[in-house]
Amino acid sequence: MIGVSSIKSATTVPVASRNRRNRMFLYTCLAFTSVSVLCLGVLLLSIFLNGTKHLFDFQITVLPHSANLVDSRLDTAKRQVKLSFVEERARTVGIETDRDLTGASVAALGADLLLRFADGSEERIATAERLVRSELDIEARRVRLTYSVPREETVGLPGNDPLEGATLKETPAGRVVLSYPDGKEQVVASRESAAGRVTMLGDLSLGSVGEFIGGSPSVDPQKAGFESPLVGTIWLLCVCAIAAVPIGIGTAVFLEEFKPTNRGLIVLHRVVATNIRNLAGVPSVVYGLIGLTVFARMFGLLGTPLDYQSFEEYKLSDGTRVVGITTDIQSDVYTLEGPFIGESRLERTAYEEIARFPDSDEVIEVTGTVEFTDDYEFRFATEQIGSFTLSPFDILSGEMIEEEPFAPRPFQATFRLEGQARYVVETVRNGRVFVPREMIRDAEQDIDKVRIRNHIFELKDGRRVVGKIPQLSDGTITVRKDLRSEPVTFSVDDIAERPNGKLAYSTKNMITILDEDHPLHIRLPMGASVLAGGLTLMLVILPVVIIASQEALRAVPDTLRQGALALGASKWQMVRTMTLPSAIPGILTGCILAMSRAIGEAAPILIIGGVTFVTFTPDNLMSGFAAMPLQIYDWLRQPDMEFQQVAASGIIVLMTVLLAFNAVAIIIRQKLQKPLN
Amino acid sequence: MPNQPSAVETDYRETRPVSAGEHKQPQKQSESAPEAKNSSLASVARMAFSGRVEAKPSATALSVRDFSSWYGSFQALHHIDLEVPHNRVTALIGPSGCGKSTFLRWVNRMNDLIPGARCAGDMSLLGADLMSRDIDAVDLRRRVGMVFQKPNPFPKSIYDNIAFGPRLHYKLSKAETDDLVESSLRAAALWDEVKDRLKQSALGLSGGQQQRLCIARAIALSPDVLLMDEPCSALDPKATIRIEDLIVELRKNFTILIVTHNMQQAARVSDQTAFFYEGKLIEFDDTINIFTNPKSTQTEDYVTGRFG
Repeated sequence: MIGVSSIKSATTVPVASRNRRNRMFLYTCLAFTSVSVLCLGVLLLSIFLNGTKHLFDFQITVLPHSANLVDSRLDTAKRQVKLSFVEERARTVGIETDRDLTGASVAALGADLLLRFADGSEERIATAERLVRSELDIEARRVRLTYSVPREETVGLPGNDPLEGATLKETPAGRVVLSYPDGKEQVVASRESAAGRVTMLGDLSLGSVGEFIGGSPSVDPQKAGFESPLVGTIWLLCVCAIAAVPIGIGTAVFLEEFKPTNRGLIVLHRVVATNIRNLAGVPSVVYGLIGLTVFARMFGLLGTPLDYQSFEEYKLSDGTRVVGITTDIQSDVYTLEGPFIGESRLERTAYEEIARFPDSDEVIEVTGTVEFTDDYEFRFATEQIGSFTLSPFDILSGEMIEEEPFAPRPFQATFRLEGQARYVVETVRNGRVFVPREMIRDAEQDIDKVRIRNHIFELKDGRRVVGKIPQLSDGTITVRKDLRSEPVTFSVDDIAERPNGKLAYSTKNMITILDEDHPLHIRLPMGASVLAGGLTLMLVILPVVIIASQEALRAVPDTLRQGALALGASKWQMVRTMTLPSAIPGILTGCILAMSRAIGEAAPILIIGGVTFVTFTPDNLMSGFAAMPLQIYDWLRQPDMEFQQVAASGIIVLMTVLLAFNAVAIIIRQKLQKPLN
Repeated sequence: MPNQPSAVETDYRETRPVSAGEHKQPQKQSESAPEAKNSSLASVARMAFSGRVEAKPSATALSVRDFSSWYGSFQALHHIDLEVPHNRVTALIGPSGCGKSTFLRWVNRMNDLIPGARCAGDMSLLGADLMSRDIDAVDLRRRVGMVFQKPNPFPKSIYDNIAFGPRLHYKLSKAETDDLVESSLRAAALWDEVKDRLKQSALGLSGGQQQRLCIARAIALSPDVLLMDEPCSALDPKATIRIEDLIVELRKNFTILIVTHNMQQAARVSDQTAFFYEGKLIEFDDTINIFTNPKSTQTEDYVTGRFG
């Protein structure tokens, strides 16, 4: 007897237990699958619900910039608010006649607007009804007429909250606010800024998706837009793709097709290939640091970029140039935070030491006023050390934590200055300011302990100011000219030139390639620019591209290569005509999937210095940028709960872009595989 | 004419007068000849031989002297001496692993791709020394074509497959390329079957058609020597017959070196046969002699089927 039947004592494994184990295996797999599907479903559902709420939610009506609200009426039965306002609309009319206009003027007579010539004759040029003003431009032969147009807008109110007892009121900022009887407030209408967009009337509207994608980030969650992060991410991806794809494919071709025969080179080849695989698993934060050192700062060999935030430069109509970080855009008021107002552009301002930490341990008596503003900030105005602002977080005192804003009241405090150079070295590293330990202490009266997160500087002219340190170099503090700690506000009407997103650099040791207006303008060191960000992302995805391309090249059967070589193809010809075309579908799929990964990388961009509150889109390689994942992260960090929904909308947009990428990958694969069949 | 083609043979085989005294006449074989003479293989060889040019070849295409080769430390070929005649079919036969394919791949230097492959000795093609450092392997492969065991058409159209080789080396106008493709396909006996679908993918052809395509692709470059590494082993008998007929046709224009496991094929197709065993060339003679009157016992044992 052959086999198992020759063993007399062999007993069979019971079939029942084997079947049971089989079933358990199946059920366990099903259970795990259900859990993951459930998690995925919950995730997608929550994102979708949150995000669409913001995208499709009630949009407030925006009144035109020049509107004057005449009346607002609440119709509780129809759940509507009727707004009557008068809008100023301007129109330019050309003067048709050929007559000489020297000494001419316009005047209204009854319902007609007349053009009076120097000789006294008149001609009607437009209607004067509801005309507010007219401006005659003799040289250009036209008249600019401004009319006041009455308009009515009806805003529907969503929800089912009872409206009895609700009141409408208009805030000084031009908003129409509906106050419910239970105290809740809802903004019904707001005034648009001169450059803003007009939204649709109340109710759910699909157009708000376009609003979201077309708008700019704002401190107001209602108005938060996604345009600059979206465009910024697309710029980043373009730079990243153009850099990564050729390098990646070239490396893969080299590693796969040009295998060495020399003993030593074989070892080197293996080392390189192994390390590329390891690099694919490196956390992307590390790449952020590499990118910062190599691309943004270029090892410090070419000078140091001034800062990693994007300053925006506005030119006001009176000629002043204001440079700062836009922290708020409300209606028509822009708020910029320091560093300075100056005449020269930040780029051409040389560093200059104008302030330093005072060297002594002296105690200063400070008198002045302090107020607690609507924005929940303490604003100090002192004679001795200038003005500065503190948030409640900076203040350590039981009695100072106020709930209600209060008007300026006098205060008196004693500040001890403990600023020393060594202090700075301990607390400031790499240009970033850490919170110094309690520099100021012991106050009297209303202030017990004040911990100020700013530093007190002593200017050359003896004045003392309080402010933030933007940059540390060589152990001395260098403060830019005219450092002020007060935010600058100006009206939108004053703006003559809007920001263009260019970064500010010191002029030392800099290399410039191509002119500033050229889209490919490059300035070294790159700083926090689109180019540096894109190249850092390239580092992140390069190993993935290389590995995917290697796999695709390996999948090409060797018979093809031999066939091509046997016909007298050189190595490069073989790769170009035979291997690469066969491998392209796999390579492209790998590249596009790598790009999908690059979209979502927030860490490297954060380290490089992409900012989150920018209103511009990059217009050349050296611009600052905002990126989608970074903006989403920033929104989620906001204390305002409404921003969670905004962030969810951002996530939806991000995922849509991702899906689009993957769809493109699939389509390309299909298209390129057809001819092979 | 002393050698009439027999009835089973088709018309396209050449019949030419035998040069007197050049070769033994089959009928003069003595009855007491060894087994080989009477084997079926022998009769196949006789039949094939009887229809072919019997004049001694006038030139040597490939001249091999004292050629040895190694894969790393393993010696694959030992001191081969061989003169491959011009415009004839030379078959390399022998059991598996005896070095025939290795030898073939040295002729067009495909062994350069294998790390650790090296050689010693002389091999010259039409006077040019193949083993010298100055030889341009890429140009060599233009002059020495190769057909592989498994048909390997490129994943392109039939037209592009044929045109691939010429486009690498020559600048041709579209009309010239069209003509070249047509003539190559005709010479490979494939034209009638594919002339309507030249732009379709070559992967849609049957196995036999694909192999003929590969042959057409190789001959499009007008190589001096055509190497064939067991071209029919992956094909069915019907396709095999067509390829064999093709090889005999091509012999007019090309020197063909064919490696084959199939002794009947060698007998049918080749003019001269070289028997390899364990890396050594045991015997090289006219096919008819190898199969009917081999000089070495090893050869006889092999051709009579005592070992394979």
